Amino acid sequence: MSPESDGVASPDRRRLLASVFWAVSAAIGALLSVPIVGFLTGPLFRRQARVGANLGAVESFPLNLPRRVDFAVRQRDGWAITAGLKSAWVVRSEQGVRVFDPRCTHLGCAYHWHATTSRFLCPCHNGVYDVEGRVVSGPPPRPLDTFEAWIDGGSLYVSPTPVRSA
Amino acid sequence: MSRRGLADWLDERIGIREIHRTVFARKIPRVGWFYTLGSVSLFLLLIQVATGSVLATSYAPTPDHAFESVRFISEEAQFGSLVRSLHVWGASAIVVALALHMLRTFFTGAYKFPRELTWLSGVGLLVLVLALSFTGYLLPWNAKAYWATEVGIRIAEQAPLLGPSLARMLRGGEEIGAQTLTRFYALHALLLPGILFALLGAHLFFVVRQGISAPARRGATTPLASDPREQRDEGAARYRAEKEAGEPFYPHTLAKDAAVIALVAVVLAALAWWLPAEVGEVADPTDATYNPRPEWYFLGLFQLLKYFPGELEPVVAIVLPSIAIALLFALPFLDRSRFRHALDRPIATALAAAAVLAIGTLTVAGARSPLLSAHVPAPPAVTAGRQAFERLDCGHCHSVRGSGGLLGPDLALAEPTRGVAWTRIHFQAPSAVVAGPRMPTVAPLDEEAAALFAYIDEVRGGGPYSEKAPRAFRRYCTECHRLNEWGKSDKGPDLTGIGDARSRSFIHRYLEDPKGLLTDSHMSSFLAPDGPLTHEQLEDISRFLAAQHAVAASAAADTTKGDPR
Repeated sequence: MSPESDGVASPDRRRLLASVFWAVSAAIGALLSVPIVGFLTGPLFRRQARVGANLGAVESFPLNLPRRVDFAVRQRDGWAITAGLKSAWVVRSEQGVRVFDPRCTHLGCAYHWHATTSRFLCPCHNGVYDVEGRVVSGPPPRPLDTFEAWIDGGSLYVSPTPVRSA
Repeated sequence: MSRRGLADWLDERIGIREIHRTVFARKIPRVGWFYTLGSVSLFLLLIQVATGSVLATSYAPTPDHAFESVRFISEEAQFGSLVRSLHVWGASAIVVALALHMLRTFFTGAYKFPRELTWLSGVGLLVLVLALSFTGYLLPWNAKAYWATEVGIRIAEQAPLLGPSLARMLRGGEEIGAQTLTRFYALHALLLPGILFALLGAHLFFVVRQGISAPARRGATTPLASDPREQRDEGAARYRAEKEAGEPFYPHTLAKDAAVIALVAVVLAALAWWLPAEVGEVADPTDATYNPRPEWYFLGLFQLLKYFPGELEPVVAIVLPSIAIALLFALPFLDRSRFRHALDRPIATALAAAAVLAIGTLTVAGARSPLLSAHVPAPPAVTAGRQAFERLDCGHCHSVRGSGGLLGPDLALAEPTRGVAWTRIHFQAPSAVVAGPRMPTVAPLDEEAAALFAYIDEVRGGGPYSEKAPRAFRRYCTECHRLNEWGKSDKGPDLTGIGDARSRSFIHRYLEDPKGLLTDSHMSSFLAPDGPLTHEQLEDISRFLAAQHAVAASAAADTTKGDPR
């Protein structure tokens, strides 16, 4: 028997090796989880560049009467450049223009404008909003979400990413 | 619940204490540091699984997006370059670790009775890892990937009988394309790893069940499977004694493994950090100047193919590797020697050493073999511009060097004075800068507009040149070359329309070092101190030459003579 074999039985050596094993494993695990966790959490720190889609002349939208518009957005989506179709509800009033995300804030169904009652109605769970996007009745937890909109040279532009309403 | 309580709870249900006894507390014979290579391979496999799963979140297996998504991972995603580089370096590291692990097993005769199954499953794992490498490196859809796969599939195609069908199955059709990519992706990310882990489970089970082999000692023998019962039992008893004198798997062996793995992890991380995996150039089947080279672990086979005439190629490419793998599988049954120590079985050891030496020599020769194609990669912005040109269908109306639509002007003839700003306005509102609103409004993103500009700039000639450039050409070049009406010598090729064939970057590199780019060139360098010109002057002449287009020459011949500009 070599002298080391006595060491095998020694509880001190065993404890030392066990702590070496766990310390080294923890260090390797920590080292390698940095890039992996970093990669997966990347979207939390990335900001999307502002792109605007032209919806046409502001004047063409009737006052206080919501109009649904479809618009094409050409934008970078990660590695792809997508040219997708989106839609929005545009409401022009004396105060300015508001552009609503066409999905109900309850569970995301597409709502429509009900002209006789002057309300937005959601067909899924009977959510009702007024022309300003405020909840009148039903389950929606908050007013309609909006798209950021701005006017440039008489044309109405919207950013295709909705802003969550308060 | 206390720790003891938890252990009791688990013990009643799954017998955790017995598992602990047989897996972690089991004693194993005292062995050297080379016995950690199996754990190192396992660790590297786990790295591949972790990094591969993360990469899969941002990879798109379609020809349209594969390259872009890999570029996105490497250049834009947070830690993307590091994760991808770990995966790429990890692939190489596994091949090295497995080869060493296998050599250790071979030289210590550890594959002999009763561990044949461990060896068989190990060879299976090696084959699977090589298949994973092969399917993995098509995925970035860059030039290297594309050509390596093209060659690899054509090798498979030469297999007798099943070859053509196999090739067609791998490709998913006649040509490498969308279906090849999805097939390779599914194989690489789902099917092969699934099989690999099933086999790995078996391998580990055999290792634990049979126990790791005792060290090979000089002159010591081991029983054969064909020996009588008593002799085999005696061998087993000797092994048990070695085991009893050994150390427990946890923590002794595991601490040793962890130390080596830590070293490997640090080396791997350092390689990934300082030598990140390249994005490369996008796969382009029309590019005849690329020099295809496989990954280093296939370079030996690559080099071997050069030594054999066409009719023998299937033998070298298919039969030889198949025999090699079959021999590996059959090894424990072919080898009848009772000895385990490498020096006690000189023939086996010499054969293995010769095989290692042969593979090593071929690999080095393959790595050193000269690149025969004169390849100067286009700048990334130019490549991106070319893709945008196709994506936005510019070719419906515009020609490039005479090929393409006829409605708009040829882009090789665009005015060299027009800059990025002009180009951008031109795209947004064409009628604002050019009379006649024939061009439709395309709304490229800013980055696309910049890339398109870079591309147009490149096909046009790579930027404006000074009036000194044509004078310098007449002074230095017309001695050997013609260009339109200039020059009378036919010593060198006629350079009329050279801009249609060569880019500015190519011409510049060529003027610097002609023989380095085209081995059969008769020209010597024009770059000081060997030649008469500075870098700036070479760039000027390169732009001038790259702007020489055949379409321009024929147009000029109709109207004016003289300065080909």
